[in-house]
Amino acid sequence: MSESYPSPPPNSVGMVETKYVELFQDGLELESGVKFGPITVAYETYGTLSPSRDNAVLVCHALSGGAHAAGYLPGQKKPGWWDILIGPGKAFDTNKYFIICSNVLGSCYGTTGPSSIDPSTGKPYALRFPVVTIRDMVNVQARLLDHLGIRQLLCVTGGSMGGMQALQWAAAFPERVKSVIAIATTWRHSAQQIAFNEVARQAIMADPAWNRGDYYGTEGPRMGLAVARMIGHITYLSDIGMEKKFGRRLRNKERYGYDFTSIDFEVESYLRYQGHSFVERFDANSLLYLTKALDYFDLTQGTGSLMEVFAGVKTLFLFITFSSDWLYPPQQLKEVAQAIRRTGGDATYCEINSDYGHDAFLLEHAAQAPLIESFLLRAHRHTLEGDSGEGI
Amino acid sequence: MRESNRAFIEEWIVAHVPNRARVLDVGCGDGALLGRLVNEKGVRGTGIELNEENVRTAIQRGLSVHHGDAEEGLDHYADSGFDLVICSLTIQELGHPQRLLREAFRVGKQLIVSFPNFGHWLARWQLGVLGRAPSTPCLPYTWYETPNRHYLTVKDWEEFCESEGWQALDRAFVANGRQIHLFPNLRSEAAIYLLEERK
Repeated sequence: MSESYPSPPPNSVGMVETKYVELFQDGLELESGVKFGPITVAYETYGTLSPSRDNAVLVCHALSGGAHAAGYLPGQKKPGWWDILIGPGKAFDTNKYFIICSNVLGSCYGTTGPSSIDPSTGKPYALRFPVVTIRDMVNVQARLLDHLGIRQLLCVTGGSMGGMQALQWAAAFPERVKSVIAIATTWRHSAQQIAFNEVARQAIMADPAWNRGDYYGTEGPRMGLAVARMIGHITYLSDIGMEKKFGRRLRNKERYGYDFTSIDFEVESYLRYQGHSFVERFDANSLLYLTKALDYFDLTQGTGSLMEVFAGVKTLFLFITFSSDWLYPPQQLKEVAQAIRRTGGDATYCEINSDYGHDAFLLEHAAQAPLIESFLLRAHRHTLEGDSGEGI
Repeated sequence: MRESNRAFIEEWIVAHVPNRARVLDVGCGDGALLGRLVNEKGVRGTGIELNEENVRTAIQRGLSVHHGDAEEGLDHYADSGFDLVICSLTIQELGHPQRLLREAFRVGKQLIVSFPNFGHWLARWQLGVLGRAPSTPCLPYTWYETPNRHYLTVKDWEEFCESEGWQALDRAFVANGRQIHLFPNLRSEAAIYLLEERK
């Protein structure tokens, strides 16, 4: 992903700081029924909250992302993961909007997760960390907004796992969400999506160094985590994208090696690079927990149908999908858009033609930026006009 | 379609849409018309459009749009969810216009339909006398690249509406950007109707 990521533009939010807050001293009741706390939340903000507090946008990150969505942290060369869309004059214009991004519950970038220290033992939680869901993540974000004094969001947005959080926000707190931009995501994990995650988890758990999750202080399941990430990367690309990017090209050689020790194909090199660089930056247990949260995600759980979920919801929706995304096929968001319309809600849907597969949500910024920009203007206008109420 | 005819049709539609109506524009193109209706008539509008480029332009106009094929059905819209459904210069390109128009009457109370009139004298001359497939300023396509799949005339349309039980609340015929009153089936290049189901 990072290889094709464009170089940072000059219109950046500049130097930023990750902040931390401890919430839920009295514990959060998780979807599983377990009560868990306290929870430290890592978050960043860009831009200025308007006096009427009507310009807040919550950005939700995907599986391997974090709170650092834009600008530069001290000592880091690379900007935040969505810097291309967040900044002065960009789609999420920090001259107009107050952007918040927080690391999700269960991750390893500052918010409490399996690698965090359990205050009751003084050691990392590891598998003693409770299984969390997308709903739990959103409940933590809601408390963070309470802490920041933000009652209503102009928009909740995100791609992939971030899109699930955005949908969950509208379903759980419709009165707190004026608009949603959900990109390359789904309303529930399908059998195929669960299957890929299960293979990723098995790769980690089959690595002896995983040691039933108690590997902190050791090297940990490096090979298992790398293989898990390789599987992920296959699902992030598309057949045609891989064909264009690698084809059958050989890696630094003219002919096959006829062995298993050297690398033959470019695509093998790419996967190994992605797998091994991921090991340096991500916690294996977090990957187990977050993939589980994805698999448990089903917006209709407890309600029955999408129409029941969105009945009476006044939130404006923008859905963006990508033609070659086979991890989260366009059809799944189309179904959400259709259910919303059937209940009388307002949903805009656009499928962008792209060869980049699921990765397109981080790469096709030129196609997405104008859509996001105009949709946000419309949502903001809607807010300022006091909202005539009914959607379409 | 001539620009002048297109402009006439657009003005006619704008004039016939009630203020603050709920409008669905089937085949909304780049949203130019829908945008006018939102801005000038305060309608709550939404569109369906197949072409990605058009959808993107429409979204950039601040419109609510569905990127998809109207022929897959309008079942993602609630019964009687709209005061008015617009189907302008679209039906001649659809696979099953009858199915779509019936669906339009399920989701909307009234319907505005416009279409190029293949009964125009120039088309008749080209086909009937010269023995050639019509290619006119109004239908500027060769037979092998025309997007049109249905060749209907004003007469065909009137008969069709009659058999469907739809009555015209208003209608207009246009050639070269001007309204035609006499012999519309022979002289008009396009026709536009405001329809309602007969009670």
